[in-house]
This record gives sequence, C-alpha cells and structure tokens, in this order.
Amino acid sequence: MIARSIVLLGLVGLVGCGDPDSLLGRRGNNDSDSTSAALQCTAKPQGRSYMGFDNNKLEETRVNEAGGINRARIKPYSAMGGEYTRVLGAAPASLGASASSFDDPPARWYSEAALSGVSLNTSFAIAFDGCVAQTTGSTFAAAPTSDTATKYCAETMRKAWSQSGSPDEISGCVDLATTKLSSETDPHRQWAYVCASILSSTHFLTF
Amino acid sequence: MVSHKSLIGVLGIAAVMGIALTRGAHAEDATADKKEAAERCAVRLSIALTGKSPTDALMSQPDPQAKTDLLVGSDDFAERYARFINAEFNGGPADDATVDPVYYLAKHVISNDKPWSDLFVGGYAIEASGDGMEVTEDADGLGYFRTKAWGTRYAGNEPAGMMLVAGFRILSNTTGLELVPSVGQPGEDRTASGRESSPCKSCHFDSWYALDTVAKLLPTAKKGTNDTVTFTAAKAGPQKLLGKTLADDKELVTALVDSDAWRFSQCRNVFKFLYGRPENQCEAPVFDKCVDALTTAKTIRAAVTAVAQDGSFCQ
Repeated sequence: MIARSIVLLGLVGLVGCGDPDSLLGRRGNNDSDSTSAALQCTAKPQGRSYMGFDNNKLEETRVNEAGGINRARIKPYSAMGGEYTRVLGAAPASLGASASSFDDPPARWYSEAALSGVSLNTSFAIAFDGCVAQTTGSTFAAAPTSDTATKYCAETMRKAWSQSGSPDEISGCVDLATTKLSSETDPHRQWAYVCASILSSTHFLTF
Repeated sequence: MVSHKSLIGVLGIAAVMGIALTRGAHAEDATADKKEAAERCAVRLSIALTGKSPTDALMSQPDPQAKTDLLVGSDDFAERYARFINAEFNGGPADDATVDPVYYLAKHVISNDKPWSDLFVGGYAIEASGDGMEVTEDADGLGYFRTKAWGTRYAGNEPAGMMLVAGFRILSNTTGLELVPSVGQPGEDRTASGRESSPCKSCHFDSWYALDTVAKLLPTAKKGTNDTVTFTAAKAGPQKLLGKTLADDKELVTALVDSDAWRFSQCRNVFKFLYGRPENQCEAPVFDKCVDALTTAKTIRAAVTAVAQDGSFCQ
C-alpha cells in the first residue's frame, strides 16, 4: 500500500506540478524562462475599457496570460459516462457508484472538477474495469507484441484523445505493453492495463 | 491488500503521462489534424456547455461551433448555468431545495430567454412549492433579492437588524465586489455608531459601496426562535449612493445593473463558466463580444454563445 501511495503521489505530482504544459499536453521545451515568456500576452489586443463605480478600470484586474493557454480543465464526473462509452462502447460498471470520489457537486450546485489522489486512483480503477470488459475477446488472447501493441496504442490514443499519439507516446505505450507488464501473466489483463493507462492520461481526463 | 498488478497499472499511467509531457511533433496529415481538432472542439463545447459528453452527431461535425446554438438552447445548459450562478452567488449549497431561489430564478430566466437583468431586477416571486420552488410573475418582485428565503439566509447579525450581509451580497452578485471581512475584537462597538469610527468607517460609510448606506435601503430583520426571521420595511428614506439619490432597494439594484460593472461582472462569469477561469488580457476582444451580446440581445444564452462560438474557444 505504501509503495502504491508513493507511486500515486508521484503521479499526482506529474499532473499538478505547476508546469502548464503538463496539463495542456503540449509539446513545449523545458526551458522555464522561455516557457514563462510564452505564457504572457505579449501582443495585447485593443479591448474596450470598463469603468467601475470607484472609477477604476475593471480590465486592469485581468491577468497577463497569452491566448490559447491555461485551457485544460478536468472533465466533470457528469461527463465521464459518455466519455468512457465513446471509447469503450459502454460505461464501466464501477463508474456509477464513484460520484463521491470525484466530489460530484450536490443538487442545484456547481464546482469545477479537480484532480486529487483519490480521484486519480479511482479514475484508473474505473478505466481498468471498463478495459477488462473490452479486452475479453480472442483479439486479446495473445500477449502484446511490438506490432500488435503499436497498432492498439495508436488506435486507442486516437479514439480516446481525439488526437494521434506522438511517436514518443506510442513508443512509451508499446514499452509498457511489451516489457513493463511482464509480471502480469494474463494477456487479457495486460491489454487492459495498456488501455487503462491511455484512459487515465491527462489527454483523456481533460477537455 | 493491493496486488502488484495494480502497481504496475499505476506505473503504466505514469509512464504514459510522463511521455505526454515531452511530446514531439504533431501529426503530419492536415486532414486528419482538422478532423481531430473538430473532435476535440466538440468535446470541449459539449462538456463546457452541458456537462455531458458530445453526441455522435456533434463528434462528426466538421465545424462543431456551428452547433453552439443547439447546445446553449438545451435544458442541460440551463441546468448547468443555473447551478454555476447559484454557486457563484451563494456561500455554499443549500440542503433544502425550497430555500434556493437563486437557482430556480436563474433557471427560469435562462429557459424562458428572459433578459439576464431579470435575475436581479425582474418582477418575480419565488416561493416554496412541493420539493422545490416555483417562479411566478410579481410586480413587487426584485429578482431574488426580495424573496423571504434569500433575505433569511443573508439577514446577518447586526444588532439593530440592519441587513449588512444582504447589502454586500447585492453588491457582490451584481458587480463582482469582493471584500475581506473583518474580525471583531472583544468589546468592540459593532453597532452603527461604532462602525462610524475608523477603520470600519471606510467600508461602511465612505466607499462607493458604503455598506451601511446600502443596508438603509433594505428591510430590517429580526430573528426569532427556530431560525424564523421577521422583516420590517426600510424606514430611513432616500440615500445618496452611486452618484444618485436612491429611494429604495429597487432603485439601488437598477442602478447597479445599469452599469459597466454589472456587464463586466456577468461576462467575467461567462468566462469562468466556459474557461474555468476569468478572462485574461489577450482575450479582451472576445470579452467585448460578450458584453455586446449581453447589451443587445440581453440574454445570457447570447452572451455565452458569443464567447463559445468565437474561434479562440476551440484553440
């Protein structure tokens, strides 16, 4: 349990480390100086001015951020049934009883969805549940090979993320499927782990 | 007990997520890129506006933003935006649906394409009915501000019954005013005469939002047993505020709504709803479109559409 918690903490760190690229899934460089400059609104467009009752300009409360950044939001629990169905063909059975793990707001209320250790862990468990159901067929009776994993990773990423995986992403996915899951002896479950890893990534969990 | 298999799975996530941070090149095929971008736009639009995954039809649209009107016109949007506004305008969720007038009036205003200003100055009564609240026409109404449920919730605890908390809520809901509440010291005079002294004076009497002056335009509240509150009509007469002489709470709220501050605050809410954050400096032109829509079409659906349909929303 401790080992798992440590890994989960590391995972949370990856998601919420403050690096804006981490949530955006963009392919930026790692130079912090150039990144911060890229985040700023360097060519400020001409907007109108709005006067407050104290004669201050209300637009001066806006933060200096560039357009097209700071956009990734965590998908709310209310959307996840449809999102899993879109990719897997059905919502995982375990999703229905998981609202509290995602802090789903009460009736007549709203809150911005956010990731936590609990919700991340539950996201993976739900994805794995759905992926196990998807990978029961004969197609997944054999353990992943480089070729079959490449095809599966690329297709699943494209479907789940609505964007093609980069060569690095596909390579990492294939590496997971063919080497890092060697202690799992059931091929169906190996495929399910690969599937669940794609459905637990920021590309899938954000919109 | 957690098996090593779960650990491997979590490691798998980390592996893929780690890779996601160092992505290399975009897909080459422009057509595929366009289709992928349209799908991502469909997901963003649908979840942001309705809280639900997109339909197959929307996912296959080459230009999902052309369907923004359908999403904004849906019951799901009315429900989601009413919830959002209820959360923005209240300090916490109400357990009892029969004392949640902001939600019910917001949903009524959105669903019936009423001017968004009706939420604040419209002639409505919102009263408990069955398991919820019913909205009816009432010439003596003032948005949700004159409802008993709202007044009870924000009656406050001022010794003479002045509704300072309700006054602040009116200012905050209409203009986005944010104040840091002060913490009283033991023995401190917190009556009206005490508040006339520094440092209380600046917020309670001197600022544009002079809280005591606002409260004089509102009824006074007397708390009884079992959380009952009795309201007595305002007696202080006209007050000078916002550069005008205001006769009552209706003139107060009308003046607040007829301002840049109201339009700015409501469009900032639109951005918070659609982006999960306020607008930034680079988004000023899109923000102006929202204000234009709110000014001309007057509905919140039009204001939200102006932002959601802009090309930048799906970037």
